[in-house]
Amino acid sequence: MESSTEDLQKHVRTYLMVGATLFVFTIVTVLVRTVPFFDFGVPGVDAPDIAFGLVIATFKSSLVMLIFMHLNHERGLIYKVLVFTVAFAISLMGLTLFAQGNPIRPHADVIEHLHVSDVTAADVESKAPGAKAEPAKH
Amino acid sequence: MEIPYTVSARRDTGLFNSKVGIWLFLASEVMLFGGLFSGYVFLRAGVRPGVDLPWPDAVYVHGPFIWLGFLNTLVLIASSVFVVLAWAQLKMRRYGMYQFYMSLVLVCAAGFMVVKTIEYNSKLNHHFGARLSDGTLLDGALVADDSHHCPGDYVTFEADKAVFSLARTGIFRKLDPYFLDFAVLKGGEEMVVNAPGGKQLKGVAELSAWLEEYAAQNPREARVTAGFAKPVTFQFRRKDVFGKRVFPDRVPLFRGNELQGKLIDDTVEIEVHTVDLQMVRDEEKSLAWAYLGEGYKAGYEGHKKEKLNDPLHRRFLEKGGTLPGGQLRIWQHPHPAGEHGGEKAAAGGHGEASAAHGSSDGHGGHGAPVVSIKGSDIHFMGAHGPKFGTYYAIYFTMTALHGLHVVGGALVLAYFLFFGRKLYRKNPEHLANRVEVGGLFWHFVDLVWIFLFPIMYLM
Amino acid sequence: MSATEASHSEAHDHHDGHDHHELSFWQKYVFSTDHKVIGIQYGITSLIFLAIGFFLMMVMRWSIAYPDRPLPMVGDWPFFNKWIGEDGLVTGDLYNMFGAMHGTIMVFLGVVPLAFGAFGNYVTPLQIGAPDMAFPRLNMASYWFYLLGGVLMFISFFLDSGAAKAGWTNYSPLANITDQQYRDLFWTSQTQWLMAMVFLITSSLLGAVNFITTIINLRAKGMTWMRLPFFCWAQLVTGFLLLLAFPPLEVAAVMQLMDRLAGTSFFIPTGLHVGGNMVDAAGGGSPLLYQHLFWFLGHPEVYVLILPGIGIVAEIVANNTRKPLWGYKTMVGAVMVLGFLSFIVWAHHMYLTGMGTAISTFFQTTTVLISIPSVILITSILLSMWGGSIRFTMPMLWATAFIPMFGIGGLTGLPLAFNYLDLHLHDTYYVIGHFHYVVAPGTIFALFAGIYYWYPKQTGRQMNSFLGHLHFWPSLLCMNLIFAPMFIQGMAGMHRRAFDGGAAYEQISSQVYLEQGHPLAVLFNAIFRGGADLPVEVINLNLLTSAGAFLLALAQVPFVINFFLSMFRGAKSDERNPWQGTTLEWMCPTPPPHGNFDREPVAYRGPYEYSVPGEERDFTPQFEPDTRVTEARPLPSLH
Ligand code: HEM
Ligand SMILES: [Cu+2]
Repeated sequence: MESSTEDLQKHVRTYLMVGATLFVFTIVTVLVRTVPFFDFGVPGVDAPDIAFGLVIATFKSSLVMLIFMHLNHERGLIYKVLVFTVAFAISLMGLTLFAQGNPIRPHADVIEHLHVSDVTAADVESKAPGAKAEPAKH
Repeated sequence: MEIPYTVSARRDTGLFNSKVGIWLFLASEVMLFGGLFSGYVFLRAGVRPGVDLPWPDAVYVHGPFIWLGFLNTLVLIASSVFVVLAWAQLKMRRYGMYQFYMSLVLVCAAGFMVVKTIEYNSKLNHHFGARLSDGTLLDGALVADDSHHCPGDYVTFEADKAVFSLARTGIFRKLDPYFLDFAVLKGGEEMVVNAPGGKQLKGVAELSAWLEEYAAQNPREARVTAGFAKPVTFQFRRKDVFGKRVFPDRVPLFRGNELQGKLIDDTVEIEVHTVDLQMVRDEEKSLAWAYLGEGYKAGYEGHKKEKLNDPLHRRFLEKGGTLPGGQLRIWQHPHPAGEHGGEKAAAGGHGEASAAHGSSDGHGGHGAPVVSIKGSDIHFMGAHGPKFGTYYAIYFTMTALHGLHVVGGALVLAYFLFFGRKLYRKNPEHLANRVEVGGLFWHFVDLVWIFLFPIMYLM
Repeated sequence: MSATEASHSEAHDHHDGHDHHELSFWQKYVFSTDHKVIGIQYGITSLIFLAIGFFLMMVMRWSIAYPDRPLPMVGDWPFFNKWIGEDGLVTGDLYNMFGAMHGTIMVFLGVVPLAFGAFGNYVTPLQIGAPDMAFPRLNMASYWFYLLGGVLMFISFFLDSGAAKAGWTNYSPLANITDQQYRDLFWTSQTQWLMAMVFLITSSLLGAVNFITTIINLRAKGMTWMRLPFFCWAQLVTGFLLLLAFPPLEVAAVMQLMDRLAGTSFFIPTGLHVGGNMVDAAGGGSPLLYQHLFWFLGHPEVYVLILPGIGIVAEIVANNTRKPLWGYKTMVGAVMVLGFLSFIVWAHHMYLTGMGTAISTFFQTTTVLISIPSVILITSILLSMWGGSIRFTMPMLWATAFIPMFGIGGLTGLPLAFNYLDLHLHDTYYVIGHFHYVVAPGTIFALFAGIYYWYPKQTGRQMNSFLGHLHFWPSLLCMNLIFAPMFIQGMAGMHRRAFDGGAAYEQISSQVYLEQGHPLAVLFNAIFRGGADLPVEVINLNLLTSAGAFLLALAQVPFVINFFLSMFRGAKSDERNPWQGTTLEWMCPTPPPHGNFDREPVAYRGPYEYSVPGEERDFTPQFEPDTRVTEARPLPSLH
């Protein structure tokens, strides 16, 4: 990167501005979470809140990457490495989530028979032999 | 021999070696934290409402931690700015200013770790919860007890018989001394054992000698049972017993040893700040009311009505929305959980606390009800440490790993600060390169926190 | 920094005579930062671990073949007599322990360090014309992390609890709940397995960063990407696989450590019972999370096992057919596609975990796709032989055998890719046969080829070819004796982790399939002795396999002798280029000194210019300036 003193001084101003922006957006996220007036949707945390929080976090992190980490003018090689890395990270998260959301469900008759959809902690516990006074040996 | 391109960039790639290296390293870090975030999403999406412990979005436990996390976010952002300023000063060959900014980075790093310590300490030592066998979750604090360092999980057991394991485990084929260690620690020095064959053994030393002898004579036996001449009372913590479970008539110890007799006391005293009924099928019949009393039940109903009448909630419900699971099934003590040393208000305000179980005898100092829960009613309990559900597990794992990165990064930057002058004199550009590379790592650490903060503290 | 500055500090500007002082013995051979010494350290350590892993396997094979006969010989060894039962039989526990450690040692401490650590370290900088790795001290650190992890893994055998016994995949919750009888869970088998893995992962990560940086930034003048020997391409892609796939395994390891030591429930579902009692854990975790994180590494890892092998074979085949590698550019493309795809096929190891049809279809599709680049690689190597005047030197013998062996391994993977077939074959001996064909007669053969090929570079002597043949032919025979029957056993339904070799299921498993008219069983029955007592036949194949395993051990004796003897007695070949090779490692002195080259290496042409028409010799090395063209071709400017 070019390094004349004037350039660097200009950069320093940019860094300070970016820092200030990051501060402001942090405050905004916290306000949305803590002050009911700013809350979207249902009180408490819900999908819009999560989306909003993540969008802001993504925005903040891209500022850090682009400005502080100089990714706004970096060599092609590094972009290539990062693009693949991010793709794999996303595939890890996405495909595991996909796998979790697409299980083999028992046949409807079986569900009715087993009441699988209706298991509660109490059921689980009541099946625990240890919970009843006399422990059973399997 | 010299390795090329340690200082200057190779022309076709435009990069010096350590810059390639650090970006590759950061790529692997992206996968590391990517894996952890994937774990977070997988676990959170996998929570089965009503079966698994709920995540805190529903239980409102973030409380004061939001502000600690917020503070740390600001601290890390500031340090990120300082590190890039330090680099710019170095590029302008102003060593003094470089030192100034780099010192600020280290101050921020130290501040971050201090805040982190406060936070961990509060979670680990001041918050406690128990999940009862019907799914009721009682959350609050353990009642301090002067006689024990860590109160609450002490068990008293009167043993009249013991089963000693004769298994010679592992490659050293030692007789496992676990029972003897246990006996010494937990008040069994005085015990007198009636060995089979009519011998009376006094104390641990005789017992151990006899066990060795017996084991040698009976190589094919796995265990031997012997009675105590008179019942011995053991007091111990749950973690000293196998599987952390005691039964009314026996206590399994590690490696197949066992005590038999009578359970005297295994109650746990908890100061209740929150009653969470999300995992209970029938709220009316929750064990919580058996311990807290009907007054609190009425309070709970009142709270529920209040919630439903809350204009925000009502507007939302009228629009056809449904409230997320936990919203209506949680009662919180009006002087909220989380901070100790709140006002000494009278209990509840929701009718009388059950006299039999609850009392506000000043243990917690802010009037929350205190209950003594029978061990057999407890399904799982613990401080808000990593054990306490998958949220805490991933919270502690990720923030601790992140903390390690902060410490590691700070050490490297401190090295550049305190030992950089020699290199600066020799080749200032080389030092600038190093600071740039160290800074890249530091920014990455900041970047991870930018995501950790909302997902761990706000959602 | 500016461009002018850059051009001032080129490597060769700093060569001002003999400024290096004498290194002490320790600096030279133990704490060395020289890539060649580190490569040899890696090589020797990993060969020792391969031998240990092999030994564990023989004990297992004995138990499988003769579940009712006491272990011969070793039964009386110190330590050993403690592990086995009083009757001298191999117990199920011991089998589990040796099985888990066999897999772990072979994969993480044997093959990967040999293929990537040893060959990668020794050969890559030489082939790209670099004086050393980009970060020599990091390189040393990565070896020492590896050794630390290895030693820790090894001493876990001598813990009270013995070594890890939950399979090389270390699945939760089994791995979580083992050793619960020990109060101090830290010094127990599974915990130490995880600790050792953390060190090994760290080592691999450091190595990967170093390799990739070196290949990217330290290529010699003129060594453009398309002049890079294929071996270096394979190492580059392997480096990326390690770099990006290992961290999720590290996550899994850290989570499992937390589960064991801090009581978390990452992998413990709500309500888990062990021995009739509820486990003391909050629950809410998922064992499937572990499997996802493990196999996200696991599948790329199998390509880490094979790619360096393919790289070695490619070099040797080109050298010994005296022909350019067929389709070099296609191969480079294929290896990159393969690297990419290997990140998105992992759940083909998890078809039976209850994944739904949509996600199974996705992984089935990517898995079938990934076989295309694999086939391209192997076909290119095969076609390279076409019409060549092949020299069947020792390395070439191994390389030739590699092709069909890897072919069998790869092709038998295809049926596994289809989840309909995998329902039947999963966790049977068929899977064992599949991946062992790829790694044992595949990768291991390629590694032997590499040892025979580069041995003269370090020692200045050739390995003895009589002993070499004595090593090669029995090995080839035994490998097939061992692994071919496994396909038959697997298709008949024999489970992969039975310590008695399935004796307990005699007459049962396949009979059921037969009675139900299971298509594979019926087919099988029709081919082999229609109506005969099938399962016993199947179980008896164990004898064949185990005999093969013991003979294979014998077959390695000539190699060990050869390896040490040839150092002192081997035929001298101290010229720099004993194989008339074209790549840069044949340019430097033998053995290469610290800093490698005695004149500046420059690559003037592609890596495989063999039998170029019009040339006097049948090889035109990369490092020789063009003599035929009168007008000097301008070099691409690189520095
Ligand atoms: C050519 C394409 C390949 C395909 C389509 C393929 C497919 C598969 C599939 C679907 C499985 C899972 C079987 C099961 O557990 O039911 C499997 C297992 C395995 N494969 Fe491959 N494979 C291929 C190449 C390779 C290569 C090149 C290697 C190693 C160098 C390899 C090593 C393994 C290993 C180690 C396992 C078993 C892991 C375990 O369960 O312990 N495979 N393969
Ligand atoms: Cu695979």
